[in-house]
Amino acid sequence: MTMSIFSKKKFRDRFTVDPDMKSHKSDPFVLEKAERARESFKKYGLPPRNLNKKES
Amino acid sequence: MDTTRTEFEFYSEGPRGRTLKIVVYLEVEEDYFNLSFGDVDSFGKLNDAARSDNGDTGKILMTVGHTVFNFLEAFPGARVYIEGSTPSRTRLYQMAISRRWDEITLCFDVVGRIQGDWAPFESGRNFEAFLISKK
Repeated sequence: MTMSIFSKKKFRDRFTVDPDMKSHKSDPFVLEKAERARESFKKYGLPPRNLNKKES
Repeated sequence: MDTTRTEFEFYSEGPRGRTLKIVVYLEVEEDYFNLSFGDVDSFGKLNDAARSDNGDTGKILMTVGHTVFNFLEAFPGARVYIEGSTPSRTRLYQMAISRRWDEITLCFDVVGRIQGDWAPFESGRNFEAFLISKK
């Protein structure tokens, strides 16, 4: 059986919460990337939720 | 919304020094979050133009993958949009997904955009962007 790397507890707990961490959500880089994603969604649309299931 | 798992930071450490890496998930459409990933420069701003060259690209991509896991654990209905800033960056992400596909597919659904259409992820196809969601 394959053990998922993501199911190992040590990876789940890899990150700790830092209440003093500086937020970068308003960083121009992040806003520019978000805008690019929005434009891509407008241009190409979004996939149906069941795309994987349809094909499998 | 609990925002504690929408931003992550970690360091790349190696022969070229220590670089702070940031991963930010920002909602761009309902339940669709863009993943931004970059380095913090000396002015405290993010960019993805620099190369840390610490020989730890695999480890960095793995850590970004763990942020996706953490994020989707916190927001199971979300879909994470990933598009590299350049085609070569996108290929790098594709290679990282392919390398761990057997494990990734146990937990996540991954679809990719190719020539403007969305299709289930497959190794060996050159996708332009990816959407990852929890199974």
